[in-house]
This record gives sequence, structure tokens and C-alpha cells, in this order.
Amino acid sequence: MKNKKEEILKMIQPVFCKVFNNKNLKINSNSSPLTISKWDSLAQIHLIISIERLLKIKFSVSDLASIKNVGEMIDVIIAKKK
Amino acid sequence: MNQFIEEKYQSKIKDIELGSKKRNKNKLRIAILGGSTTDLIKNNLSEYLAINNIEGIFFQSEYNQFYFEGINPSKKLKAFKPQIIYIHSASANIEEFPAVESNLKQVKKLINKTFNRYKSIWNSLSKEFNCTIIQNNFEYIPFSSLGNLESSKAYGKINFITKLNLKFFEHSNVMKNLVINDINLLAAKIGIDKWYDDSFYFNYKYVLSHEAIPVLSHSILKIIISIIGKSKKCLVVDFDNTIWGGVVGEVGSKGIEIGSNSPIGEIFLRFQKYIYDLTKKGVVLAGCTKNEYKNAISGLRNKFNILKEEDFSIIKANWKNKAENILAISKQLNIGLDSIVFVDDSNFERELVRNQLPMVEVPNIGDEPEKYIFHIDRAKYFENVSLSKEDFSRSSYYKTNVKRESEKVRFKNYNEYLASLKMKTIFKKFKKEDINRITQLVNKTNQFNLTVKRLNLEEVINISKHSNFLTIAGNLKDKFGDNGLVTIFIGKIKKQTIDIVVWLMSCRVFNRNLEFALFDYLISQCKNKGISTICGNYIKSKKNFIVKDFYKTLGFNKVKSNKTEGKWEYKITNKYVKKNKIIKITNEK
Repeated sequence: MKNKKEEILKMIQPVFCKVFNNKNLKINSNSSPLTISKWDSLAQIHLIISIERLLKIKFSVSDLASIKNVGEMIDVIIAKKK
Repeated sequence: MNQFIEEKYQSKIKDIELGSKKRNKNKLRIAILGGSTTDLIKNNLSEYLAINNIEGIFFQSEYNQFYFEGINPSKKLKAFKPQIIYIHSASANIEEFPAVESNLKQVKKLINKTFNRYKSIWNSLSKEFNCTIIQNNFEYIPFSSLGNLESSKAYGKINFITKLNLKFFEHSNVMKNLVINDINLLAAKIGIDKWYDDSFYFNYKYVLSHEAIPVLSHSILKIIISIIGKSKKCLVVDFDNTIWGGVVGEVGSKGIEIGSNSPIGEIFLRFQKYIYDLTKKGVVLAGCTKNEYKNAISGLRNKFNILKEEDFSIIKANWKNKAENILAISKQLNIGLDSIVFVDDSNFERELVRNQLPMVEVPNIGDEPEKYIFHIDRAKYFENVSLSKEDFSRSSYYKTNVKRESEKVRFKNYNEYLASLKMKTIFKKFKKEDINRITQLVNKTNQFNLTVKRLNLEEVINISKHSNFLTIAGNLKDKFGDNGLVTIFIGKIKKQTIDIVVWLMSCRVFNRNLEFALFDYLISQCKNKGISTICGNYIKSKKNFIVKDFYKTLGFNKVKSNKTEGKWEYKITNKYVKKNKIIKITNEK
């Protein structure tokens, strides 16, 4: 399970770098709008759309309403990928 | 559709980078008044504008404040001074739908109530800003609890939306500065289910999906391009396998596939009908084909064609390089390369033209004839916000122009040729019935345009009513036909001086002495009004170098001049000798 989480984290890492236009940005499961100042609503949309396209999944309304940080996002992704 | 737009723009977007490093010359202030979130639409539109060399400067209303910002514009909006206002509302903004079993009268009342809400926004904004308003209509809704009754009954939601849309369209015919953006059609094209995205709506309050946003922005872009007069004007088509099936030089005029005898023939028929309708709304059509001329014409004479010889303003049928031919077409018709769309089934020819004439738009129409029409239609090259009398007969002007050109060679002396044209002009003040055409000329004319001053409809109307302005609109008739209104002059009178605000002439009538005829007329008008000095202004643009020395030619004295502008002065004396001896001037009745 932990490996799976790390695997997804690795996959979505470049998306964050691209959206926030910062090559050196390193995310972890605690990353959230509170820790990344540029993470506003517009960035949120870019992140979600990019991740949806990358992983060929679609977040539901309640998924998006509940996700508070990267860790929770990864949990949702794993559940969807099953 | 979305895919098409992405293909077309994504590659270009890469070079441009968000925010655009290049400094764009044309700035445009656009206010977006949204009934929902508009950030992504703004960003997307901004990118598309940048590709078209327009720097969009944006104002966005607060979330869902379009109504209040509309009827009572904030200080911020007033200070922003929008040139274009886009009202992004949608069916989600309809406050009340008819209750099931409402009677006709109740439904009608509700329609009027909803309509009047928008009308009050348009009226208030027009009064405050004098600018064009782009208004979404309403898209059909994805759920229909009443089933087909939603459409057939007056209380049905689809029925309600349809009537409301009709009212919007009708009103846009009365209110000249109102342009309806048909999102109902856009949604239908990509599919209503794709147009909506629940998570996008419930989480971020977008009334359309991420996928639909480029479709919407592209539509807005094309309306804006049309408003500022940058829509394409001329379609150049290849013949063999583009407007009919087969190679006429090989199979003969009776062997080409056109007409309803075969599926392929029908496809080309549909395509020809589409092109024919374009010419009817003023798109100039030219042919460019690698053929013996006589073979090309024999192909066109196949009776099943919808497009006939006379629908083409010019036909280049020879074995020369197509880029060379298009260049010649552009010169002969006096239409800029950036106003031309070239359509050819051959990838080789497309690439060649793209490389040699990058200004020409060359859609990748592929090699399946049934798809040609979609590629051209979806790009909305020839979008118009309105059509004037001149648009409807533009093709014939260009065609007679080619005739005029061909007669030119028969006369050794150019003046002799001009005299043979038996030209006549009528100069008059701006009249109500001409205001649309005048506005169009003011915004479209690039070459013979001394000040490149652009004015919107309301500004032109105001000027026409104001006694401080001297306005002249002139047409030009000759033995080949009437060119319609082709020259415009606006001068601002300050005591004994007149300041030239606008002086332009359509490229159709260059080198015909009309500019001199107008000057003669201007002098006589000035004398009548006791004006003794004419101040000539020249503002340099990319395309108006042709008139750089025009004031000098007329005998103005230079007051000052630098790289970007010039100021000139002309003192009117009693010794004035008329400059035009060729065109007969008929005074306004």
C-alpha cells in the first residue's frame, strides 16, 4: 500500500511542478493549499484536470469536496484505480 | 470541435507562453460580466487573442454580479472604459422557469420579465459605454422531467428557452451594438452532455465543462475579430478533388464527380453549396488550380456544378506555383494576404503555400471530401456580426474590378482609361441608412486611411448628429457598376479651422482620382462654412504607408512630422484650382 502511494506521488509530482511553474517543487502527502501559497482555486482546477487526464480518471463532486491535501488525493486516486 | 481547436492553437500557444512575451500592438479592453465563474474563459480568450496579435486587457465582474454590474456599473468598470463587454450568462442564470400547468398568459409574462431583465442591462451598459455588447443566449438543459413536453408545451423548459432565445435574436436585429453568442448551438455541436460538467459546476461554479471552454472562447474570439474588422475576406479554392471529384484534365468535364448521381458527387455538391452561400454573404471567391485554363473552365461548365464561372472573382488556372498565383490574386483583387483562406486537397500545395505565404490561412482539410466543410466551418474564418448591402454584393465589385483591370491594358494612357470608365460620385453627409456601412469602413479600412481612427456605431451616430463635425460619405459609379459607399471623411470644426479626424477610401477604388474629387468637394464645403484652414493628421500604421505623402501631394505644408505621425496644414485661397477633372460630382440633393 505504501509503495502504491509513493508510486502515485511520483506520477503526479510533475503535474504540480508544471502547474506551479516550479521545477524544484517537491510535494508530499501533507502538501495542501496551506503549504503551497500559489495553490488557489484556479491552480486547483488546473491540478485536477491535469491529473484526471494523466491518470484517465474522473473525480466526483464529493471527491473534490473532501480532499484536503495531497495524501487524501492519493487515497481517492487509489480507490478509483482499483 | 474541441479537438480541432486544440490542434490549431495548442502548438502556437506553446511559443507564445501565457501572458505573452511579445509586445502586441493592438490592445483591446474587454469587460466580462459573468453569471458564473469566468477565470478560465478569460485566460483562454486572452491566449487566443494573443495568437491573433491582440492584447486583451480584462475586467471581470465579481462572481455572479453581471446583473448589478450591468444595471449599475461600478466605479471600477467605469474607469476601465470597456471597448467590448461580454455578458457570460447561461441557463443556470434563469431565475424562474414556468410552473408546470402555467397558462400561456403566465408563461408570456415570465418570458417578458426574464427578457426585460437582460434588456435593462443592455440599455444601461449602452448608455454608459457606447460599446459592443456580446451576450450569450441560453443553452438547452440536460434534464427533462417532462420528457418531450419540455419542448412541445408552453410551460416546458426547452420551449421557454427557445422563445427566450428568439427574443434575444430579434432584439439584436434592432439593437445594433448587441451581438448574440449562440451557446445553444455550440453546446449542440459538442453535445449537451459534454457541455455540462457537474463537478465543474458544483465545485467551481462553471456553467460549462473544461472541454467546452475552448469552444466558447473560440466563438467569442471570432465575434471580436469580426467586430474589429479582421475576419477573412477571400476564399481561394483548388478545383480537382477540392470542389469536384476527379481530375478534369484527365476524365473530361463530363467525367468529374459532381451532382446527385453518386455519394461522392453529392458530397462535393454540398461543399459547393456551402461555398456558394459564403459568396452570397460577401466572401470573395477565387479559383487556383493546376490545369489548362480551358480544361478548368470546362469543368466549371459541367451543368451539375452549383458554383459557376461567374461566382469566381478571378480564376488562376495554369501550371505556376500556387503561392505565386495566390500572390497575384491578392494583388489583382487588392485583398491583403492576411485576409485570404486557401483550400486545397493536396498536402503538398498546402505546405507550399503555408511556407511561402505564412500570412495566408491554410486549413488542414485532410483528403476526405466530406470533412472539408467541417474544417472550414468550425474555424469560423468568415464570421460576421452583421451584413450590409455592400457585403451582399461585394463579390460582384471585385469581379468588375478584375474586368476593369483587364480593360486597363487596352488603354495606353491611364487617364484615358479612367475617362473611359465614365465615373460618377455623389458626396453627402452621413445619412441614417448609411451608418452601418460607414462604421464598417471606418473599422476595416487599413491602407488608404490617414488617421486609422476606429469608431464604434454609437460614436459614428453621435458624430453624424453633431454640427461641429463635417461629414462626407461618397460612392463611385462607373460603366461596370456601382461600387457603393467607398470613401469617408470626418472633420472637426473649430471656428475657421477644420481638423481631419477620419479620411479613408476603400482599396477597391484606389488610383481612380476619387480622393481628389473629395478634396475639391471638401474645399467647396469649407468655403461655404467660412473655414480657411484644413489641418491634416497622419497616424502611421502597418498598412497605410500608401498615404504617407498624401497631404504633400494635395499641397499641404508640413507642420511637424516624426516616425509615427505627421501634422499638415492647408490654407484655402480663392485661387483654388480643382484637382479632379475625371469624375463627375453630383451634389447631394
